[in-house]
Amino acid sequence: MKGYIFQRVVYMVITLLLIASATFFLMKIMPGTPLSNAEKLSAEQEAIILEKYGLNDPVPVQYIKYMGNILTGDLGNSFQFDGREVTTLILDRIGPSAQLGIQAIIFGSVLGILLGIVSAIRYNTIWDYGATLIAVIGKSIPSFVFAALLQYYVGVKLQWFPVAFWEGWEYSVLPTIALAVFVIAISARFTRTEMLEVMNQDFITTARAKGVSGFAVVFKHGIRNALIPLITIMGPLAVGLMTGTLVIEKIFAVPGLGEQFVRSITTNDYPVIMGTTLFFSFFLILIILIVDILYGVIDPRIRLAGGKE
Amino acid sequence: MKKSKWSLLLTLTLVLSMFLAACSGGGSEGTSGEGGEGGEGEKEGKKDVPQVLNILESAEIPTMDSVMGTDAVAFQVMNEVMEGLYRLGPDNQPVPGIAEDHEVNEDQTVYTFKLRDAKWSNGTPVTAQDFVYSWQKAVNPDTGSQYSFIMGPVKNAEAITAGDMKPEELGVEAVDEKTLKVTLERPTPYFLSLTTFATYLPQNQEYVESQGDQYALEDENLIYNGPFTLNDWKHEEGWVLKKNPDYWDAENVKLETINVKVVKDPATAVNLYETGKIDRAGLSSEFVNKYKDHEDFKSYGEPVLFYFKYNQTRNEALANVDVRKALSMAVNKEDLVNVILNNGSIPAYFSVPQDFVTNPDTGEDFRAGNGDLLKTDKEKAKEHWEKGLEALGKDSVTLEILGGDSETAMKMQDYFKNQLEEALPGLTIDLKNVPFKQRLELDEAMDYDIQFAGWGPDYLDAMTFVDLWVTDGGHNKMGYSNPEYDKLVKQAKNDLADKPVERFEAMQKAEKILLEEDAAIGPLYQRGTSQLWKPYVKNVPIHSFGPDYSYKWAYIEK
Repeated sequence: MKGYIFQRVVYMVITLLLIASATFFLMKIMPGTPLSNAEKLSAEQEAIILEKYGLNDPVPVQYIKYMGNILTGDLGNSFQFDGREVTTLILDRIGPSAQLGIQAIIFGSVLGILLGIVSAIRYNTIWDYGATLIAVIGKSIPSFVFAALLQYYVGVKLQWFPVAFWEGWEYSVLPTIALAVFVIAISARFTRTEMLEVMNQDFITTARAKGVSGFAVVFKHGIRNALIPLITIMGPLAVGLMTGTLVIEKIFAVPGLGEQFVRSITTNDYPVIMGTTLFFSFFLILIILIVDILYGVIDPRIRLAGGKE
Repeated sequence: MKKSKWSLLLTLTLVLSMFLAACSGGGSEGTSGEGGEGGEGEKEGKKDVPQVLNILESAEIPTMDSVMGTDAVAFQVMNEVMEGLYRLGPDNQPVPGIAEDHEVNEDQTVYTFKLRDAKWSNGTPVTAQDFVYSWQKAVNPDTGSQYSFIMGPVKNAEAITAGDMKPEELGVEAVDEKTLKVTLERPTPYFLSLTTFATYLPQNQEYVESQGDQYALEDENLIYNGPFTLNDWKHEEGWVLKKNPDYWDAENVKLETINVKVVKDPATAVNLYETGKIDRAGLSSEFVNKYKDHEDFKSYGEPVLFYFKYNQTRNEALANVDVRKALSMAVNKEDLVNVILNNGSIPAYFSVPQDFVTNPDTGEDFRAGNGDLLKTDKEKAKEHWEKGLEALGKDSVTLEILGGDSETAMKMQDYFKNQLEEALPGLTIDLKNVPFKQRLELDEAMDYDIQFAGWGPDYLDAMTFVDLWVTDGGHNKMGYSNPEYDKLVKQAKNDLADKPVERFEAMQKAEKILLEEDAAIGPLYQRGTSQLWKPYVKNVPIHSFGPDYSYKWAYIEK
């Protein structure tokens, strides 16, 4: 197991370096400069300012400098926020995004799995159709539509929760629900399908024959097996949600990372693009590793390193 | 536990909604007094009304280092928490700030400012040396300021930024603690308005250096000398402006607190306004119809102009003046502003916006002298078009319009294509919608036929628009060159600098040449803004360059 994890970590570092290089060259292909005032500047004035930031150097020279800095852990300073360190910037913004992401994943998957189980055990009844309908709506309507509806009806009309801003627990309710809708839909659909399959397996019949109660059959024997495929998709989904979602953050005025990432691209803020990309990749790779390890915990049949121990 | 939280929330909501209902019933009908007297404290807000203003900004403050600012949000906050020699007054004219008064020498190249006794928020006095320090910092190429060009009129500024001279050679000198002597490169009639600009704000060298690279990164790494101070600066979330008790004119500042939140979505802003959380909301065009008849609705023009740039170097058709005239006169601009933009914009038949500058003698608007040029006339457009085609010896022409990729920009471009192709037989328009940065690159390389572009002023003088189109000008980038135009602009900059009326007329004449004779650009519209303002917010002047508003004289009256 230890050897396996070490191997994975080495791959992880290599992957990150490859991503950093690819991002660097993609950034250099983007038109424009990080100057926010370029339309007012003449070519000479632009050159003077770019010189200061080392952006007039040949691209290979910039690349070597850049990778050198990244290897020493220095992500540099942002262009759009004069003098602010990229690391602080990301750490500042990740809090709200992560909180929303975690809340949405927990709320969404618990509700979704319950819906899925209900559908599966009340297969082809009104319960099943109702749960499926919810899942289909949740999956096909984009989350920003829900966000706008929630904001208007629950925030403005009913005034149950704040319309926007980020000042406490109650401010996270509406964005969490808006984000969770998709999670509910996707986990309900997966759970239903898997549960139906699992419930028809021989070992369930055996359990029933042994006289295990219906509740225990579903929750002890059924779910455990049905959840494995769900974990595969939930990992990356969690990363996506936790590292920020542009539209939801914009609608509810949440000071998160999602909006930051998109804006760094439109403003050619190279260090922030690189920083957020690496941060995102790191999390994704890490979660995939964790998921792989979790498989073994949930299902002993899947042994990662050939089940030596 | 959970239950109690819920019921508390519900109670709060109920109380709040009752409170709000009561407020909206008692609100007065008055409007915010734009361009009022200001500063005299005409009608003090009633003592029991909390002097708190709640507003939104559309973005985080990118920088609080005054020499680095480039955008509306930074300019706005700097205008509230700092003060330069002069500041923009209620009538958009410079009024004394840190400078009590100034003298100008005979040939208008030396300004001597007398500074008043003003203090930074850490107690140190604001001195002439503070201006010398920040101005030298702004032009120093090592600083990398993107607005250093605004210091251009100050002697040697351009040479210093280009690296040919030392920052110490800048034409600014602290004669003593309270006297600042500024030497200009050439007479600059609008210099006083420049001293209100963010790049011209003072910085205290000792304080700045004590903060090192942390300077201006957080509210506690800054000192203030303006009407307000910056507090609780939570990045991307908001900040609070509190009245600065040490400000020299504090007795005329009535607002105690301005709460600013960052909200980027226009629909969210409207929803917040509806729930009474904020006192002002900008309206994007889709909301204008809904709120047009609302009593809080306000709409005003900004001196920001949009136009077609005709590149005369890539497609020979555009080198023909009749073709350019035809293109300029064929688009119905009334429908453009009323149907597509629908935000208070007005059609433009000019290259210097209206309500921006006035004749120094008669006080008449710049527009009064020249009126509408290149007015839409589809018949005439067609005549010019046919004449143009004949001269080119062609019966059809294909032209590309380069424009932005925002939703509104693309809608407008579709409209242009439709209008032009319909009015001018034989014309085919190809649309090229690209992101802003890419458009700038194509502009720089002059790789376009027609470009849908815009410009906002940098200082309070028609020159900020007129200067764009001189031969090889930084913004020209379309191969336009008319020696007569250049001559008039040069005259206005040099010989006529101390003859304000003749100078003004020279620029009007230049505009006539640019549009009526040459149709070098095709004006489209002057931008407007639509907003909802709570009627109890009084006396917030709206500015035409630099910061959008001033809150120094604002008050709440319920």
